[in-house]
Amino acid sequence: MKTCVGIPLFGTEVSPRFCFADTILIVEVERNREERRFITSLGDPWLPKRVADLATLGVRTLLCGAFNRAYLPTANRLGIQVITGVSGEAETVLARFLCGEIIPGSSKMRRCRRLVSPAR
Amino acid sequence: MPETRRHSTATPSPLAELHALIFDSIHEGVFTVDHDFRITSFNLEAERITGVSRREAVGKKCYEVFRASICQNGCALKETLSTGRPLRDVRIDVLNASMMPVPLLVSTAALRRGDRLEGGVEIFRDVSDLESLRKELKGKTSFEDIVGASPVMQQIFQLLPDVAASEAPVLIEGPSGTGKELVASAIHSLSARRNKPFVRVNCGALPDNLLESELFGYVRGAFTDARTDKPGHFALAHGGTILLDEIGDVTAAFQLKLLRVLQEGEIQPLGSRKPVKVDVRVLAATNRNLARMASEGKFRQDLYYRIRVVPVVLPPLRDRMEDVPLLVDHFIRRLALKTGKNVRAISPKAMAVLCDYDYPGNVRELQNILERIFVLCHGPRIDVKDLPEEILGHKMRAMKAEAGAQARRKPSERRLLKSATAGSGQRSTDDPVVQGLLEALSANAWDRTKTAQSLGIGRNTLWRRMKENGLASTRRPTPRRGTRIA
Repeated sequence: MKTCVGIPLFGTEVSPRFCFADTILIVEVERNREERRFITSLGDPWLPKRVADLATLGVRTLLCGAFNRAYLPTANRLGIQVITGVSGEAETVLARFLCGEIIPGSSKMRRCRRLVSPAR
Repeated sequence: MPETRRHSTATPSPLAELHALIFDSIHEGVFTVDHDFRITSFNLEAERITGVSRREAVGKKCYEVFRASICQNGCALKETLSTGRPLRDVRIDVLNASMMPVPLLVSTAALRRGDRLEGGVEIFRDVSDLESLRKELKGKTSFEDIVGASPVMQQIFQLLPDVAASEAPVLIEGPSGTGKELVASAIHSLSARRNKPFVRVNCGALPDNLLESELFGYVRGAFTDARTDKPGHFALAHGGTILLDEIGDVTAAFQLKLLRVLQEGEIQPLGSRKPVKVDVRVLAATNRNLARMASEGKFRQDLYYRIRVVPVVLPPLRDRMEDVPLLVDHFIRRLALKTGKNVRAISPKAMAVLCDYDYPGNVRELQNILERIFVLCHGPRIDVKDLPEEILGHKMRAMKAEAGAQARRKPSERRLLKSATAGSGQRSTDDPVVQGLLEALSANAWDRTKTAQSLGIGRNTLWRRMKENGLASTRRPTPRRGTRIA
């Protein structure tokens, strides 16, 4: 099945935070193989607009360092699965994703319940 | 700087241990990086603020841990390492491990050993409370200022970003003091209009003629004292958002005028013949049951459907009592900052009393209660003796009423009450909450819908409270022929 993966960039690495990335690597994937790729710029940093733009680009999976939690339902509603806690070289991350090593919930940096008081 | 525990294998010297202790006792987050921006040390406060443990953070690049607004453009540490100049109190925000933004003030300095640059240090402090006070002073509150972990509030939190992203009119319904204005403000600050004005108008406070001139403005000579043109609130909110508060209180004649504005997107200032186009997103709020008013003909149906494109319903506080401890902590933190008093905590007994009160005035009443407590409380901890009379009186009255009811209760009912909580591991039948629930259930023949209605709470809330108090597994008693349980 054809799908589209987005990796916001920080140089050649994965952006630590989607809303502050300037560019994004879009990769079309079919049967775990890369079909086509391009890099495009991300405009307005306002997250709802960025998420809507991703949906327009056909992105179904977003791999990034962090993503404001308040907007996760918006992304999910637009059919975008957000995988956070991803870091390192974008190429390596893409290769790991294609191998099935990066799946939702595989983030290494989990919330430390002992440390964080409830956000609200 | 103390050695990081991760990399040290030898037993640390007493001096290094002392340094580590000092490092962890600082009430500001501190971390150090090497030339490559890899974290080399990370103190306890940094763990608390970011939610990332030292073990996880050390060795990672700092931007992978902090996800700050300046990581990609304008990193403070990078600037300090390249120029050698320290930076002070740079305002940024980071995403913590829960992916929630945390506002910080950061200061940076380069670490040198002689002429050699070893890396950098960043010191930061969480300014969430200060930020929220500042926003409150400016009348700009945001999503993060709404407090609640209850399922109903979580649903609202999930809904808000989508509601904000659309341009549709929103009707915020809920009893007084539930935070309708806070939600309206959050919708505005999450929306694309966030940098434009947010104007709030209390429609219920003004008579029609005044409301018209306030909302739509007037031109010079429109009436005796109109010496200059005055723009109305709609014009002032151009490009932004207007909140029509207490919209259920406007007269039928004014409802028609509002409807015209919403339909045409233009206003006509008093005394002017020319309509003026306005680009304003309309939010409305009410504590009345507009649906019923519309069906009874007391509120225009066409206006009702126009403003209620997206409804947001805020529950009364008694329907989300699990949020009371969170709200109490939130207000204590803010009031401590606002008043400068060293009140930091509340005793479990005092919290239990606050959790037992039913708050007819909702969150605003809880806030007022805590403000009053702050005036009178002199210790660092709020205790039962610091609580206002009406809260304690409420508890006493509830206990007295229960004692009376217990005395009047038939022996069969007493047995029922005993069996209901036996072995549940929950509160005993002496607990006024359990007693109140059992009373109401018993009076309504254990019909949960009727019981919920009689208690003025939702059916789900009742079920949750029954479960919390071990009453969920209690079977409804089968009345013997000729006997009634009531």
